[in-house]
Amino acid sequence: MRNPPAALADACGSLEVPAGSLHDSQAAASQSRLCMTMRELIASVAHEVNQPLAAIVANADACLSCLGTDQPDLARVRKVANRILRDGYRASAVLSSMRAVLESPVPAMSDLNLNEVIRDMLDLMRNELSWHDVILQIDLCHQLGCIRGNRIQLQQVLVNLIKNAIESMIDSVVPPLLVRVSTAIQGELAVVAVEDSGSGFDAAAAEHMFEPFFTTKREGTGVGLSICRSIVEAHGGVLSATRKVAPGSVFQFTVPLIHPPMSTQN
Amino acid sequence: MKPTVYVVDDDAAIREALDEVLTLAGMGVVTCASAGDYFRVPKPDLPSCLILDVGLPDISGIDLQWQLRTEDHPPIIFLTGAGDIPTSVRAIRAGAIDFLTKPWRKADLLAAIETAIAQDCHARTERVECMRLKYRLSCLTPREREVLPLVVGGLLNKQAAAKLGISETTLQLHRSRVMRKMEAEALAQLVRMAAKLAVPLPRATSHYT
Repeated sequence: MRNPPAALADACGSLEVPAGSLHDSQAAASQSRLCMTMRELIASVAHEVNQPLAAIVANADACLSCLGTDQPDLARVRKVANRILRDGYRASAVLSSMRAVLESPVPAMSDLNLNEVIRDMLDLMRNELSWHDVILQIDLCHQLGCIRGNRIQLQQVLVNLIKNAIESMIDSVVPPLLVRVSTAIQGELAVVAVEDSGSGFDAAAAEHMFEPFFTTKREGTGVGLSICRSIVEAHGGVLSATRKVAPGSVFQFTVPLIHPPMSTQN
Repeated sequence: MKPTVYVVDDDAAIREALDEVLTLAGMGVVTCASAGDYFRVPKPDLPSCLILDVGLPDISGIDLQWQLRTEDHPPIIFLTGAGDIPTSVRAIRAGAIDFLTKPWRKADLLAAIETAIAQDCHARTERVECMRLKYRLSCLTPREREVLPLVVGGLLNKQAAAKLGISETTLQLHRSRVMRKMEAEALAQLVRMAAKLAVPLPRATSHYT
């Protein structure tokens, strides 16, 4: 799923927190946070559904033009009709995954091979990475077992961390831009780390970066990392960030393994 | 020759659908997944237009329009998921033919393409005409090139001759050669050609005033 447009952040920028007791303003803040998340969700659903809809409409137009000729090319009509089906299912899949998010506070968990989840996600991001001339290094621990989690949510966390990594590099760093994604076993936990060669972050940012609405990006909404943290915590893990000695930062999160190795490594 | 429509959209389903619709409408279609792809595809010298998604993965469609502004490029039709007014105003001000929201109406799209292709044909004719005129201008001798601005600037033969310090008969001779080489049948036509070539004219008033 794409990030909601930056304009959305502007639209939400005017959310007001009424003056009053601390308790009131906190309640209002959490209310407006909810409202913002809903707006983002609606905007991205609208986009994700509108794309296939536009394709469906255009393909139906194509079918009609084809059928309007004296000797319609039925093979062609069939090909285009199949695309209409495919795009219809695509739109419907977006809606059902959104419905799943809205309906169940606890997302559907299943046994997942974390390495596989990461590889699938990296495949999807390859274009974006190569657009920014980012060299991707993948270092996955083959002994990593399964974890219990929600594939889409975990991928959302990874996409967010990788996008942050890219954004921390494009403005300020001379090539080569490096992103390293790795997995490791730490006792009973799987550890996923996203490392970049970017500008890193300062102590002030370190203190607040997981808080909602905190951002160092000009067009950021400041909700990315806070959502990531909620997701990781819902998986029984911890999301943390460290500065590297060399320029750059490491964001890593843990998720409990289903079958941790017998002898824990140190 | 079929006109060519370049489609730049990062969504494969949209590219496919546009390809189908436009091919059926009798156009040549070239699809690109990004602005970078658009720069790389070969562009045959045919009337064409560019259908551009606003949200591209590398640079936005609006930025691409901005990058193209200094060169000869096909007229642009924008497609967008959710068009906001400021963006569409910017796009249209910068010369876009239309700004359509997805899903678009086929009739609207085809009308926009027709306008765009007509505009491109016109621009191409103008460019060819301009090149022809430049070539003709290059065939003038230095003296004839001095005569041209004086004549199209509205000076009488006598005034122009005086300005160049030559006889009126000689000036008339140069003037008729300029007309012939520029293939102008009347002075008014020569004036239009000079305007297209942006020939610098002498000061608006003659030196007698």
